[in-house]
Amino acid sequence: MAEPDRSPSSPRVQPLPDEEAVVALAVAGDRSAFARLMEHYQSACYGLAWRLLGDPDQAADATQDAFIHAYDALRSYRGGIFRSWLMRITANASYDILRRARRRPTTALPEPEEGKAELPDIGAVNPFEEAQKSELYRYLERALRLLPEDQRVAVVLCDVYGMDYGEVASMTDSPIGTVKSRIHRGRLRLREILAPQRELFER
Amino acid sequence: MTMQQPNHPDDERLAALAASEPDALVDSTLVTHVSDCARCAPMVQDLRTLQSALAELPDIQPSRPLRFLPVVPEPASGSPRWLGLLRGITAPAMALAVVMIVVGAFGTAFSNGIGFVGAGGAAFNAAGPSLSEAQSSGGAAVPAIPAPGGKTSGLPSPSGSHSALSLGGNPAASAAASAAASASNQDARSAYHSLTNVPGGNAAVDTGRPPYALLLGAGVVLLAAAFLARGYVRRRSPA
Repeated sequence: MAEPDRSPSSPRVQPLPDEEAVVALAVAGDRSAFARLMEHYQSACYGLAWRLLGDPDQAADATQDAFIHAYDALRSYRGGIFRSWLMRITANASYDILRRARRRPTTALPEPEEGKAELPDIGAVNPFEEAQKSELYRYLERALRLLPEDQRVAVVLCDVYGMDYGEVASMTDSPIGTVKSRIHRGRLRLREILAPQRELFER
Repeated sequence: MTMQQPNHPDDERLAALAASEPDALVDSTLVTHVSDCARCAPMVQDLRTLQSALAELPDIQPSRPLRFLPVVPEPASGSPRWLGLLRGITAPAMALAVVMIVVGAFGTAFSNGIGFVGAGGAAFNAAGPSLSEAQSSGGAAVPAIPAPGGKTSGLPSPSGSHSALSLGGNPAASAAASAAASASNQDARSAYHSLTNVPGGNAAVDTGRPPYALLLGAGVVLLAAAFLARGYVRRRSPA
């Protein structure tokens, strides 16, 4: 599986400077405003879908589905952080695909292949630190993909995207206790997997 | 894999403490143990570091260009809405017309006598077994029995008159058949009334016969109209 194109120097998209106004326009039916929002957040949505599904094509499909659902649900948007609202929709769209895939006979996620090391950003303040960060992210992504699916979904939603236990529980139709247990076991498993790269965390 | 170590809290409890879950934070035994334990303290610290690192994972560029807006069907330029409606109904109308023509053609053919022996013969025989005997004795084939309205209905005539029967021109056989039919006249009438359940059955047979010819005609008209409509829609639609 190809490693995703990732830019370590710009970790996560920040809200648009005039986001409230753009969201208001989109809610009022301005399609170009909606398109601007989706364009801005596409890498965030795709990243979530990719981490949940582990497949670039499925992730793109899930992101596309999420945009359509978001467009339909925009009239019922009642404020709050737009990114979180969109992330929830993306997580639901991805989880729907995951659920459908579970009903069919599936093959296990392929073993992560050795990808080319990403070159550090030359213009970065500290290229060595950037390179180390990039390395750390790559190991983390690979470790996530080695988790059992239920643990991966719970850890990604909770730890990577900051959803609380209740949100994860309702999204995965699981009791909160089960979700907590999955997250704890997932983190412990990640720690074990990443033990040989312990020095990457000590910076 | 989580494992319960002797004298150490369960690993999941340590993970809960690392996640600062309230029930773990108020567990003084757990907190005290972790603060003094050379095995558990680094584990909790590792888990906290791991959580921070996970929260920093960057966004990912999509593997292919994505469409940001759902596709909205373009308003039909230059073609009115009714044209679209017409386009939509021509195919079902053609199918319906074909069904009507087939049913009408078969129905007409059967009701004109081709299928009477198969369809109505049972009722005929039930009503008049002696007539069947008369037929065999006369050696003539009985093609069909016209109904009182001029069409066969599959039911014996309530009047019991079989004068319309053609028995191959044998007068003796014809007379025998008439006699036999008269004998079964009462049975036939009661059978007829039990089937139609309409008093004064003659009128009911006249008005109640299936309108196959009408169906056939309507099907032909509908098919022609559908073809015309399709041609019109094709001419009006942009290429």
